[in-house]
Amino acid sequence: MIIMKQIVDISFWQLGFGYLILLLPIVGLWLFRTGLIKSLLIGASRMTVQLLLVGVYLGYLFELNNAWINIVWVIVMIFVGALTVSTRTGVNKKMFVLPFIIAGFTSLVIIDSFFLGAIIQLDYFFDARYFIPISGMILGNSMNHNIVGISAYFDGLVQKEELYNFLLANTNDRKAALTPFVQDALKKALNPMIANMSVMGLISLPGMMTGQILGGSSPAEAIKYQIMIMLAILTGCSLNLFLSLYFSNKYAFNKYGALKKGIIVQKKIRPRN
Amino acid sequence: MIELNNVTLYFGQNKVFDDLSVSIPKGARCCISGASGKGKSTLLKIIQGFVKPQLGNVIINDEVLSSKTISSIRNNISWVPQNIDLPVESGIELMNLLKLTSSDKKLIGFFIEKLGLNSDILEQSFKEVSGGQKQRIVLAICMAKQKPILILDEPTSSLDDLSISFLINLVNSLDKVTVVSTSHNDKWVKSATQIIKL
Repeated sequence: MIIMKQIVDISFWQLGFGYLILLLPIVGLWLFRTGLIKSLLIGASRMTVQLLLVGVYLGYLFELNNAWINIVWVIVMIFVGALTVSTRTGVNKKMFVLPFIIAGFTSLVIIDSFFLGAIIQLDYFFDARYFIPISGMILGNSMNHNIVGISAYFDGLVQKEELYNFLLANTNDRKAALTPFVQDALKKALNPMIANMSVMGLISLPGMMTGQILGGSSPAEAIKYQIMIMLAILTGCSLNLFLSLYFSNKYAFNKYGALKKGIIVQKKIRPRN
Repeated sequence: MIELNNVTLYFGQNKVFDDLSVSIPKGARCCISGASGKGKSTLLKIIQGFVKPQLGNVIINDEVLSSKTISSIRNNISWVPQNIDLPVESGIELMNLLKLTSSDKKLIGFFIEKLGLNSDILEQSFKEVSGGQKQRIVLAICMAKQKPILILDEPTSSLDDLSISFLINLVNSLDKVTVVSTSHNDKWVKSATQIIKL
């Protein structure tokens, strides 16, 4: 029989002391002149502030546990995710934020309905303790994979516009002309996740499971949730990317099927010092 | 019949065509010639609706090129661009990508052989064939689609003299097909029935 121990809390002093470990990557990055130190420090600072604020917000949200507030919170996450994808991929925000929002919303409704409604069968579907973190995990992962997929798709189309035109001219079928670009985007975005999933438990222990075990859950319970969340993330990411590409296509081409100019409007955000 | 009427096109501040009018009769071997940057390839794209001029119109087989007619017009066109980076590894894969019908596939051997190649080359990896062979494979596959209008952008760019002769003979044997091309090759230009100088 497994006896679950009480969680060992981390004091703010201990947490602050933990930051010292960052000196190791900072020294390495400095030695190799990567230009990433500033980005690392900004990233770590942002992560700290954002998570501390989220900790406070989530405390209130869990206490209130109001369906409308929880829905609004998730919609804000969808909106921020869509904006981040537009910024990071360098695509024209005016053209593509709306399709990304619609894709995020549609995929989340489907995934949440299936996993929270049909699998976990929550009595209260919008329970903040489940609805917000699970939606957040799906949206966060979708955002990262969308950035890779959308970048590959539109970079491919812009750089190989001649190939797209060639396929469109000779097949007179836009779906056939776009197929190589969609294949490339899906492979680049989803391959790493599939590879990661296939070695999960062998060479990596996922964060959510680790968090649950540290929080007092039994490993068996944590693993069941981890499997469910992995399925939800994989499906959510695939669906979100697929829908983002589908809805984006409505804005990316003119009435003649030709690629519009000005799809990529800015250089992608890359790490710099 | 392909007609361009009073076409004016700007790229930003740069005027590419100013009130250009051109008429290409059905069955013509039309070659667009001119120095680099004069808009030869752009003219081919205007005919296919990939570039829309600010003024003027394009009429193809009595249909004015518009968003409503583009699909039926594209049904009549096959286009071979210059030096395309293909996402497939062989001629067979390209035939599938371009959705050749079974009747198109029956003709492919005829076109391949007329261009001086053996049909077996369709199964060979593009990595194992020369640039000129690859260009002829793409030309043969596009021609096998039997579209009434064939648009060729620099079709001779990777071909040797003998292969150019094969291509000229093949194109001249396609009586009902209107061929619109661009080329810097003298032999190809001389074989045209109509030359548009830009």
